[in-house]
Amino acid sequence: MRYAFWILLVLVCPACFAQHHTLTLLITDSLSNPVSNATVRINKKESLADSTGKITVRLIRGETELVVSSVNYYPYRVSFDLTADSLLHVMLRSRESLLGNVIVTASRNVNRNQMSIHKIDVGQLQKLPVVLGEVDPLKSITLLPGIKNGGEASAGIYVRGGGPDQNLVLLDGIPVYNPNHLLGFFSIFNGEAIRDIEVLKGGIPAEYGGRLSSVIAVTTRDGNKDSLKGSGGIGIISSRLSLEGPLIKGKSSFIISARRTYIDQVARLVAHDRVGNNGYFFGDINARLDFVINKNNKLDFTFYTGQDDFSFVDDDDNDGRDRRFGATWGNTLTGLTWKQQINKKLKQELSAVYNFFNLDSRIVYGTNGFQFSSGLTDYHVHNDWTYTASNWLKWKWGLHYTWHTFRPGAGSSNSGVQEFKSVIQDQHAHEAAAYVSTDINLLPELNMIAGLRYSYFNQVGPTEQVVYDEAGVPTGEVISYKRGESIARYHYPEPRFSLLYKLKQQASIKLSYTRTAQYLHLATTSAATFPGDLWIPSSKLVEPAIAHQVAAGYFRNIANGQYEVSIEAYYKTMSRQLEFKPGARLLLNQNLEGEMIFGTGKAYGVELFLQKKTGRLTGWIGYTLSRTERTFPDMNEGKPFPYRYDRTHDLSVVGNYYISPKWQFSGVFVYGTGNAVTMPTGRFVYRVGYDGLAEKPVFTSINQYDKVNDYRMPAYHRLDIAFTYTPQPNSTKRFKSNWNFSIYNLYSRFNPYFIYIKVEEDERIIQGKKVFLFPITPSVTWNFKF
Amino acid sequence: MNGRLLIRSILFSAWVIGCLSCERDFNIALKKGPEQLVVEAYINNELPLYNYVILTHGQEYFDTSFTNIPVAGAIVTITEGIMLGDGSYQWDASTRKHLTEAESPQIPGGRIPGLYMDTTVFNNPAQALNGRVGKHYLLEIETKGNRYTATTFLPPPVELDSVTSGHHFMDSIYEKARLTIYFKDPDTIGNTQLYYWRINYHHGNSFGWGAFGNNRYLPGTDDLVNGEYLQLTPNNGFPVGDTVHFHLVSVERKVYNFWDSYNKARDNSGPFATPVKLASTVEGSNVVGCFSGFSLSTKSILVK
Repeated sequence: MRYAFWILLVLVCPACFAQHHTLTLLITDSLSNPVSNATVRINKKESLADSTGKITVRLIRGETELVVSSVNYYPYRVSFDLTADSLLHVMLRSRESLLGNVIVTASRNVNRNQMSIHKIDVGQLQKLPVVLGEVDPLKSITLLPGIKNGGEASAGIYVRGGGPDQNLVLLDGIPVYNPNHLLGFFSIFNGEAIRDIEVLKGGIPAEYGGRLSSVIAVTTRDGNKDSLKGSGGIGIISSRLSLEGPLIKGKSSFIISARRTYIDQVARLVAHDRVGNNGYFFGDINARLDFVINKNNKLDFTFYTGQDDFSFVDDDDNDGRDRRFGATWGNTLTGLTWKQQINKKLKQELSAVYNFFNLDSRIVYGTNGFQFSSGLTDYHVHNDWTYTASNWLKWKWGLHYTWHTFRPGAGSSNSGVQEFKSVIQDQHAHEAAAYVSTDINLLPELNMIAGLRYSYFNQVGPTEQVVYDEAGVPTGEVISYKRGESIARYHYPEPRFSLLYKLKQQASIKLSYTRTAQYLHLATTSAATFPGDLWIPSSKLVEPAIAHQVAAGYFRNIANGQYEVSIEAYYKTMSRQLEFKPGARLLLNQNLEGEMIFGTGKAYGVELFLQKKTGRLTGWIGYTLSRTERTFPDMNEGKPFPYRYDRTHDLSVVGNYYISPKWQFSGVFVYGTGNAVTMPTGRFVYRVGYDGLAEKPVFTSINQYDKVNDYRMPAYHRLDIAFTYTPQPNSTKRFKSNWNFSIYNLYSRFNPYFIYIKVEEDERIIQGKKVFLFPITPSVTWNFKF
Repeated sequence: MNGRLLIRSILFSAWVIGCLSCERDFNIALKKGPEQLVVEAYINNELPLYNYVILTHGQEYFDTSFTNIPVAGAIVTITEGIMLGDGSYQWDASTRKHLTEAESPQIPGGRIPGLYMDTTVFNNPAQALNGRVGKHYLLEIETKGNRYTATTFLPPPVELDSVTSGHHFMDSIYEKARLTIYFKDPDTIGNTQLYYWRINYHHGNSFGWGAFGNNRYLPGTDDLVNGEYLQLTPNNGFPVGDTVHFHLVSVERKVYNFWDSYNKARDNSGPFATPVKLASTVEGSNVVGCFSGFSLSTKSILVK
């Protein structure tokens, strides 16, 4: 019996007697950039490397077969005899140089326990057709299912029914509050500086929080560690230049990218009489430094600053009223991150972030003047830990803290000599969160990630608040809060849960549940997002918004991974959604909260995604069938109404074709149901009188409205194409260049930017009008590297 | 890099930008809303002829007649009263005035369709309906079997101290000047004002509050200037040599809110516009409008 026990033990637990060693892989591309989330197969067992290209596994001593693959790279295969703890540097070779058409999105969809995720790298971005020659990472993600833009040239991004302020936009982990230039025509992300953009629409892990609907993470690339390199491009409205190189050869590098537009100069060239002295430009600088201290410690420094400048002067003083308008606005972001591998199983990241946004504007209109400035400043630290206990168990935990200072608007206006000074006070808040999550293989084919985030928000003094009565009349009472005195405090648990079940034949099923809380709100009344929109904190009256989302999906690779297909369904509810009363005054308004109304939101839908990942022809088809609605007691008689960006059907087709080493082609077709808008249902006259001089009645026509968002704008669709021409693809010279020829909106569909009804009472004409921005729009960009 | 090709590309692109942003006619099939009664009612303390009610109803949006469609045969009364300590009203039935459809040659410009007035004003102005400062007023309307009511209040007027002219400029015809008005805002916060004026030359045969000049960009509340001595210079130009009667009109908050929403609704188009509903003060079904109690303080000036 005693021998039987030992025999049984040997049978069921052979590994108990084997000698183990630790293998650490460091996976990079040929430029030493980490290849994130590469698939690692060791002795036929698959795992994923982390976002820094690292993975540590414990293996049985002996013959080891290793295959490392990632979608944009050729697989790396090697067999070796593992005889001791080892560190292996794996350099993957990019497919780019040969095929140039590989698409990167969610290649690990089947095996990775993260659903509702998409990723696009800069190589793919640079091949897509662009409007006016400007590569825009933020616009490109709206080609993916479940992610919508607000329409032509709209800044807002709407993910699964959420609002434009419900996306956590990160630049190297730094939150970005206003990610747009030119009133939303372009994002602040310079295609030259970034490595990739990743979007999480659901199943958001516990390490992310603060927004209800999505995480949009933009990652800039490391500079070249071996030699000085440069790249750039010259386009219709802007030019850009990047320089990168080693600080300490092989160890540390820098990259600095800058761009500036010359829209004003081009416009003056075209229509000098119309443009006059008016001007607009934006410019920005991205910089990133990385210092490899030693094999276990690394420092990354990210810096961004950008500014938009707009001025308008009307010299026509026929009515004695000068009109002058000027505004400057921009972000400055700085972040320093220390990454440390403490031992084979434990690593941590510590980041300190400074975030600043500011707007200054001034208007002169005859004897009236107006000056306004607003903005916010964040100081943020976070510390994240990962403990890989074994091949089947991983823990993550961390702490996040932010000190917010909001400047809702300080300014003044005048009428003649009379000045009206704003007394709106700055607002301050602590925002913090702690989280823990575990990633565990319950069975070989069943993985679970369960996490809990606990978030905390506290608006504090010093500030003074004017007290208003229910009718919005100031009572004359002012409440003063001392420095650090609590004004409003909230805290919520945010459970996160996701499940992956692998099926046979390269397929899997995933489930997720996410609860998210959002303590900051964007105050805007318009359909577009403006730099003048205000971020405001939760307060006594304005409670945090809470969302629940459940999602389920089926994922499958076909034809040995050549194709990938997925279908996801989601259902999301959102409480305490904020809207402003129609016509609300947001600027210099001490009683901003009196202009707000609150309601709920609901969104549900199905997303289909089919991708071809290899071959001469690559691309994807994304389709979403969805419904998004809002319910506000003070709107639409309390009945649910469609959200403005409710889009029943949304289709994107993206294709790239490798014609020859010199020529590549790409095309994009998009179709979407028109936005839901409120249109008048009648008209009446008011302020009636009789003009004795003109001998006719005088009055003002006022629109009558009924149901909210009861009218659908025309469907949006267009086809874009682009050709990339590389004159000398096989050149061994240091200087290389290519041309990108794009045609945006090939069949010149007049997609409305907005619609309105033009009323000319004297001529008795009432005519619907649609204004569109971009009919067929060719552009050319010359890109170079040296 | 072929420099000539680059320059050509930029010039071509500049032409492209110049062609961007166009407008096209577009058929918008609007739904028809329910028919609304539109109430425009005034009572003030200085101008008895300008205490009246206009009743109209709306029209289909694409109707190009552009006129006020009158509501005839309505029973319209206005009653004076006071507010009691508990917030309820006590209406004085003896002050009730019946307003009838007015079609009198004594109204400058003749007839305004839908106009209801206390016609006593033409024969015995001293006995005609006139607002008194500090009093509340009840408007009652009966038409087509429906009843509508509204109340308003005449707050103490904020007295205009003086009006001066200056800031001269030439427009295409006249030499013009701007006016500066001077007044002290009361010490108590929460006062709201509207601004109206009449120009003798322009206003000779005009009638109605709709024929007054006004400026919607002047600040209407004292939220930021409570208790201060104010000097306001509206942008509007006035011909030199003409006489201007400037009315500083004090109103209660709900009346101010209505006219504030009216100003937002009257000019509301473009990509960033949002539909604005008027902040109606009239109660009843399918009705919009305001009963405006105006407490006037007036100064006249010869523009120099």
